[in-house]
Amino acid sequence: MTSFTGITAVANATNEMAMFKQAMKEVAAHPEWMSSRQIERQRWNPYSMEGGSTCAISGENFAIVASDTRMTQNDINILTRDAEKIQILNDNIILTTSGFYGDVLQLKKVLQSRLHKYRFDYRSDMSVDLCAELLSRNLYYRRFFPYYTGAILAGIDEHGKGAVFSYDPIGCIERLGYSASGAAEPMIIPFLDCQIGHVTLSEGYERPELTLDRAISLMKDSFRGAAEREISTGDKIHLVIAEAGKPVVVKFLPLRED
Amino acid sequence: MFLTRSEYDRGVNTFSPEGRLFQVEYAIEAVKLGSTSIGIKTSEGVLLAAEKRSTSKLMVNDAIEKISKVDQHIGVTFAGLIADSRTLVERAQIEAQNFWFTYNRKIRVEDVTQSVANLALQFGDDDVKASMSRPFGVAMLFAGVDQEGAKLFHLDPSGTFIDCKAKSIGAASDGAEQNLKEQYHDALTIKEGLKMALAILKQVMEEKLNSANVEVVVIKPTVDAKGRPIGEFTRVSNEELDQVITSL
Repeated sequence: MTSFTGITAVANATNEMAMFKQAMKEVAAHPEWMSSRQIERQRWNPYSMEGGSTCAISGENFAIVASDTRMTQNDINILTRDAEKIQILNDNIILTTSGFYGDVLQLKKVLQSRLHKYRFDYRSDMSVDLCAELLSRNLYYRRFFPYYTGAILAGIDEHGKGAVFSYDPIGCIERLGYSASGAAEPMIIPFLDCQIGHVTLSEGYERPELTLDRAISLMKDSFRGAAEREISTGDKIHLVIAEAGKPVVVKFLPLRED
Repeated sequence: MFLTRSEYDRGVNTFSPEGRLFQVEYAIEAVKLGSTSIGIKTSEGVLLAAEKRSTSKLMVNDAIEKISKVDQHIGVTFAGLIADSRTLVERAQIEAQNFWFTYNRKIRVEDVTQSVANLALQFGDDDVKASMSRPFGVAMLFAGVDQEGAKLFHLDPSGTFIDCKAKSIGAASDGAEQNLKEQYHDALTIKEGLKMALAILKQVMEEKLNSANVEVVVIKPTVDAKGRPIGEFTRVSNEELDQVITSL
């Protein structure tokens, strides 16, 4: 009799184990922290969004570009804290992209090789004005399977002035004084509209000149502010400074890591 | 002279022991069978003037085109085998449009010339890679105004291209160039350049010069919608030509 109950106990335990495993499987497939929209997205998708934010500001004779270096999956899982989203293509052209990191890397390679070929074909370095048009064409070539990126091209133009070109994923191009893209774009743009665009300042008030130092500190503030509230932005600020007639300067500044 | 060449002028890609490519040299000779063209760079732009040689009075002279438009700011004239020039002119036009499409900017005259020069050397007797089995028998003058100012380039069948102030190609090129050397100066105006070109053509042409057997294009500097310097290709009308010709 005792041996019989022993067998029942073993059978119960096996059954419990199987149920536990089943429950674990279900939780893994539909984690509670995922919204139904995210679960929907778990079906095969050629795109993913690795978060992060980038921003560029141009001034009279400079352009500065910054991005964070965090790469996330589903907003919370940090894949790496050292993903660089800024590519220095040459002394006058800086590309910064956020979005799907695979497309970010591909876009960088495409532009690098086009710049390289341009040097051979036309015996001079491409200017940022030409590169801006080239990027627009290249994005539109993928009209029906676009690069999933918010690209910003910045640099020093042919007249020695700072330039920022903003794009949508299929190549609509606009030259602006400043631009942001990525997860924290909705937070950075209003801040810069206020501080650089002065859209909220009444007529007749003195507008502070946009010097390089001011642009840099505004850039730092933008990212510190964004990192407080936007979870896929953080870890480090990758800051690139291009000044007319000077070599490009690259800096890394600390940012919230949580 | 031809005896010594006999073995080495057959293949288009075989050097002679003296290091010469005879087929290319013969192609350069073919240019001298064509009618004369002149290009002059002036302080107010650049101009091309070409002789239209009619072999019969039954020919419609207006139908001959000796100066082609490559783009809004570049023109080209040619001497030699005119049929060959069609391929090269088309390459120039495609290259100019391609550049504009990709970069939203007009191509430089030098870059158009370079791309045509690349095509000029793509000949060979293998039928796989090469598009042309022999060298192109044309020389060309590319004239235009780009962001760097007025430009004039001479391209010969060997694919060599040279930046020129004034240049002549075709049957009477030697005589015309001698005249250009004597008369050219850097402060020329378009009007003086036009008069000089027609005077030289008048002197070297076998037929009597009139507005029907000459074609002239002027490319003057202007600015585009964004204020960048660029050229404007204009054909000189027969009335204007007649005026200058009667004043010679």
